[in-house]
Amino acid sequence: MYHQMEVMYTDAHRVGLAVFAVGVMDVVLMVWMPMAWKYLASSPPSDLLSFPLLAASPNPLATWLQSVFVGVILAVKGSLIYAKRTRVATGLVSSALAVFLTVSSMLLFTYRNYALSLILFLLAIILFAV
Amino acid sequence: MEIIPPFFGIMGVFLTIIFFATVWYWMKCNEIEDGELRKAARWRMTGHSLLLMATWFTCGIFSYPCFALRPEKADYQSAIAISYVVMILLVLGFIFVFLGQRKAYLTKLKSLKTAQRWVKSSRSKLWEKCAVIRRRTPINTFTGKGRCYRCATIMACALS
Repeated sequence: MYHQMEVMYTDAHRVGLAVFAVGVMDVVLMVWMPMAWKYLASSPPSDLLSFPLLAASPNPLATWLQSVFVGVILAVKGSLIYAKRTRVATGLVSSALAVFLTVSSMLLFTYRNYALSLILFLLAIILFAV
Repeated sequence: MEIIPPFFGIMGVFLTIIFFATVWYWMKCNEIEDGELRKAARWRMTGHSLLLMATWFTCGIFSYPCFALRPEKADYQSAIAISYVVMILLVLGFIFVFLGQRKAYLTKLKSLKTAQRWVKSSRSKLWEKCAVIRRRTPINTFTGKGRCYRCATIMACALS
């Protein structure tokens, strides 16, 4: 029994840290890497969309916008899993759902469907907060 | 005044690092906090996350993709739409911070009242008998010590 609990404890720590790390990497890759690339490549100020990761995306603007939301959601949710505020499986599912809703919201925002985008975003926030 | 893009870039990176450091310490601290205080910290953290998102979107209004500071390539339609998002995020963020702070305050107040009630109910027990004059002397509940009012003998509480 004690061993089982210890395994669960370690799992929560590991999974939580992994989710947190993915969130941090997401923000670094999608927000700050293009910036660094811009200065390293000395490209013109408005030429950020030619950064490989963004250029490969079907909708660069949405990719750009979603990154910080997804990163923050994953980092905070990872922390909750780490601190055992939520069960590992529940935490992972709610994180995935919050990220999916956020990405959908951002895509709709890019296509100027503001009402539906806002509804999905509020749903994502509720899922993020609970 | 001239715009210096690296200044905003470096400050933005710094801001993101500070945010993730805050989340890191909150994560570490969350395990050792009390139940209700943990909840309060969680509300506050959600608020801070929303405020970070709002800050990040504000950056989008002034530089890529709206360029409000550069009229020659500005996209004011997108800037207006993003301004609404920023306002919603700011309001939600401050609401969450307020709720977290209120919860933390109420929890502290509740625990303080419980402690005061405990002290009040156990006050009668915090008396010690002076060995010299054989009279009961009140013990200070905070220091755990008392001084006999006749012979000035210092006595320690038997419970402490």
